Amino acid sequence: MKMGYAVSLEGFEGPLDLLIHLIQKNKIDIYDIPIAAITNQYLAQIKTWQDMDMDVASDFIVMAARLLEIKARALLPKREDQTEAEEDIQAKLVRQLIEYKIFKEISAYFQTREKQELGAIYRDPEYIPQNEEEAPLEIDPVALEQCFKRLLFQQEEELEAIAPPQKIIRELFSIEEKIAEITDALIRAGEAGVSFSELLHPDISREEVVVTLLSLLEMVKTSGLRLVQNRVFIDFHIEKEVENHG
Amino acid sequence: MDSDMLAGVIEGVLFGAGEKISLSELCRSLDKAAAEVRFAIEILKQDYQSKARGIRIVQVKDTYQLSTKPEYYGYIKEITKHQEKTGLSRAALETLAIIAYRQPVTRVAIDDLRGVSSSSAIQRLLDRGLICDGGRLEAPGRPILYKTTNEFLQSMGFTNLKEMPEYEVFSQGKQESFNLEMIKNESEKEAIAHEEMLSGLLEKSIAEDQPVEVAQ
Repeated sequence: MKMGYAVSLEGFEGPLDLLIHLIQKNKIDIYDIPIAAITNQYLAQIKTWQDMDMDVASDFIVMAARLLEIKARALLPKREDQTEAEEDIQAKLVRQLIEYKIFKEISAYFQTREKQELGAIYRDPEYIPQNEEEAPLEIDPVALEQCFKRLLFQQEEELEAIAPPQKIIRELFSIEEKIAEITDALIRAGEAGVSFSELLHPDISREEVVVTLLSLLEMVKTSGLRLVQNRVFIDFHIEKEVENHG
Repeated sequence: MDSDMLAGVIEGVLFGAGEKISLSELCRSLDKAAAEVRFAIEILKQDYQSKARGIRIVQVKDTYQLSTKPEYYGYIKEITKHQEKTGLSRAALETLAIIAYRQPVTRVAIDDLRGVSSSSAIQRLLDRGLICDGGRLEAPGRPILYKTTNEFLQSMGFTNLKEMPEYEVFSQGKQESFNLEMIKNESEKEAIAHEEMLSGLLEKSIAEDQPVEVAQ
């Protein structure tokens, strides 16, 4: 039977936290991490947790993979073009560790301040119903108009800041229209069907070609068209699928 | 009304209201210039600094509120039998620290920094009102950008974001690239300007106040 209690991973917030713990425990310079040793210790820790039947979060596994990759690259004979990439991947981890460590320190600082501030007590104001009577409004209509205009203008500016005006290009060809066009062409052609090139015209735009093709694909899906092409990169033939009602 | 009396009036207003009162509300209701009100609040603050006082003024941006002094909490608790207030979890604190120094920031950026998922921590911070939605990043998916709130400043005892120690303080002067510009958003600049102007304004207000008093 499984015991129903959760054990946090010994208080580690994540893989970076565990790594920092290992680095500090071994009194290692963060800029000069002996990757092989750290990787072994990291994996050993994860193994311990797994032996204790704890669910090891996927984030820890991902980090294990990263460490193994760095370690593996370090073992491989160096090639000229490889050096840079290898340094990158370790440097990236170091950068991440340093940054995380800083934020760990900031959060400890925040915790101290928070603890201090938790000791402040604010009072609830005594409840006294508010005076309903409102003072008569004295408004200068000109000032009101200016205020209103300012607000309008301000809102426009804010809107522009959030969503700058964008150029919306009207779609010249819709799939619906194209389908209707192709259907007409197919009806005119009857049994023989049409070829794709017949659906295009000499001064056709790239967009219209795309829409034509999309429409054909749509029609294949919905209204039983058959497209026949003898080999790749050539024109293809379009015909209505012969309906088989058995 | 002299500055001492104005200070007394403001103390009464703050105690009576209980909630945060902004500088502009005080100016409007007391019909006083901002400099005068600021000066009176400064008098109050100085007064409260004395060991003989058990309350203080909590300033967040340009709002003011009274609270008990945190350092006297132990004595208060003896009487009120309050339950121990609980702070944020480590995950939430880490997430909050990142948002505070990198704002506005997306969840993915926080996850990358922490190396673990931060969605539940973000949800808890949102629930407690310490962070809020600060717009969208113009990138695929338009992810939410998070930023800290005034509630955050209050819970950490900061008057404004500028009061937070610089990031470099924590990085111990290592050669990292930092982007402090992010925390200096517009409203902050304004708050900083207020702070810096305060001392000058105080002197000016005294100078301006005196002749008026004499005339009355």
